[in-house]
Amino acid sequence: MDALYRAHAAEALRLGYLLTGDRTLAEDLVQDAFVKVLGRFHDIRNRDAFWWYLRKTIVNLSTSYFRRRGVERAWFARQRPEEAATAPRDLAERDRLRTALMTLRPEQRAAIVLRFYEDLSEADTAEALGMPLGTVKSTVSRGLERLRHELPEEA
Amino acid sequence: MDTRLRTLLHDLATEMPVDIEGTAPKTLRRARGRRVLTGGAGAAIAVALVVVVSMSVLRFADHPTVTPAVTGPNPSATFEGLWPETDIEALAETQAAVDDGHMPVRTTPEGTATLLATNLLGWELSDVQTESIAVSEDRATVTIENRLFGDRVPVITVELGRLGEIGPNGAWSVLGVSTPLIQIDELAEIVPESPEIITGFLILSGSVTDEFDGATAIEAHVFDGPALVPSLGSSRQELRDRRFDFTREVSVEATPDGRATLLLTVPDATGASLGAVMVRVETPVGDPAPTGPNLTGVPPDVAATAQRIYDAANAEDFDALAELLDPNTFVYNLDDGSDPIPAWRADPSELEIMVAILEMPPTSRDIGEGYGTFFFWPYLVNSDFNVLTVQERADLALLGFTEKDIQLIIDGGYGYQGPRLAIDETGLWRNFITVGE
Repeated sequence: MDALYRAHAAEALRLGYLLTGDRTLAEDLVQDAFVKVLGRFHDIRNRDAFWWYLRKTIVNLSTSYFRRRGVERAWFARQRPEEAATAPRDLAERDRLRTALMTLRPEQRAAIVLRFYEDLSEADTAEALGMPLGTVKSTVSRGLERLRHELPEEA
Repeated sequence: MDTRLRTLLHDLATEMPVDIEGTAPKTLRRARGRRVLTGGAGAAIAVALVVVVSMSVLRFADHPTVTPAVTGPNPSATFEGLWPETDIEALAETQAAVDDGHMPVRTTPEGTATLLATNLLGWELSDVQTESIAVSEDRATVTIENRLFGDRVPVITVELGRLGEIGPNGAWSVLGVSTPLIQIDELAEIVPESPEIITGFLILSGSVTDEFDGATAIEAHVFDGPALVPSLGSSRQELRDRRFDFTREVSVEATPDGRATLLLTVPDATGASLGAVMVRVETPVGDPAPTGPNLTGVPPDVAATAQRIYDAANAEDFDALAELLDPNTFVYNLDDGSDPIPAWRADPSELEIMVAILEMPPTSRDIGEGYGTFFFWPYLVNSDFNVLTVQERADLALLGFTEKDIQLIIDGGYGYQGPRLAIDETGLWRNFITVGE
């Protein structure tokens, strides 16, 4: 168990960070994911399978979190309009990407990160997200389109 | 863009600090605690469902108390045990093993309480100290204490019972756990009238007493069996002014008898629990409903429009949404005659809200001459906040309303002010509003 954690924690934390844009949230989410997956693995032999389950759990936890937040946001936006602030103009390139990623829907962000950070194929991304292949293609396409809009100089 | 994006993503990922030595102990301790005794316990639970609310309020006195069990809706759910077994069949298996000479620790209340301390509370066996307060043939009260904690941490009281075989070989089961360290003011679990939602909320509030100042957080775990995993939902909250107030989503899976066990723990810096409370909570029983708009009671034309809206919103298909509304008559966020499509393109999360409320039951209202009857999603539009049902509270919680929000609405004499969508009786999409009255 210890070896599995050490082997995958760094990658899991980075994935969690890209999906959430928040270090603390990423740590919490990754810890929950490890606990869930380690707890379900009574006989861990295939380390590739472990990472597959862990990655899927991290993605599921993040999309679930943001979906809930999205529903809540409408109600609270009126009471906390200051939270809808726009991004500063002179952010560094990395900051602009982080900001741009967070404008994507959770499923779009997950699809983009899995495709271009984890380098998964479209089929593997579809499997990880539990989406049809066609939906992954359109989701990635729309996500890229939005990123191009948010990051015009990188387009 | 693809290559550039890859490079940027890898660069951005390096912002995440990776402190494996710092995070490993806690994570692994939590994981180990959940793996103990999990063998064979998980297969029965597969169907993800919702939880939450309830109006069953349990109050704890300042002294160790026996937590009364909440009777579930299932007539067969009369088994009192909360841990390690939660039904008579599982206890029978354990008893058979005990009769064969295994698990002798289960034949004494002290042994069973010690097992709880090591398996669920993260204590080392050598640190556990037990004392029997009262023991009869089939009931016992045992206190457990961690030698490392010192006098400032109160003992934990474990109520136990022999629920099957009585006699020297009869296995003991945990019926309740309490501590003066944790005071519960309100515990509410939602059991939807129909399991149409797949997640819900556990509403739980209380405090950690002033006697000990080392508690910084509290964890809530819902499970059904000998270990915390398979988990039916868990949550952790940092204490503020020694108070906790959970109103958050908890994914809960159906249990065969509609009941599960809630364990509240206050972990110290090493993850060992300074205190614990264990009570029973209700869970829904049934299959998860397929996703889609809830079309209960709406005419065919309305249902067809609702389905098309749902499909288009789910697919983030703005062109399809545009075909479904007339900007001259459509109302978006109380702005008559505007075209909402540009706003939705700018903030697609609005469509998630649309999907979420369409999955809730609808209601209708006669708008008056020239308009006829409008069908609204969600049904909460017509709810009387002075007499909210358990289901209504559950759905409000799902939409992000806290108890405080609800009270503000009641105090102000308002009606439902959350997101809503209306289709008129001819099937014309009339509005989608997300910003209140």
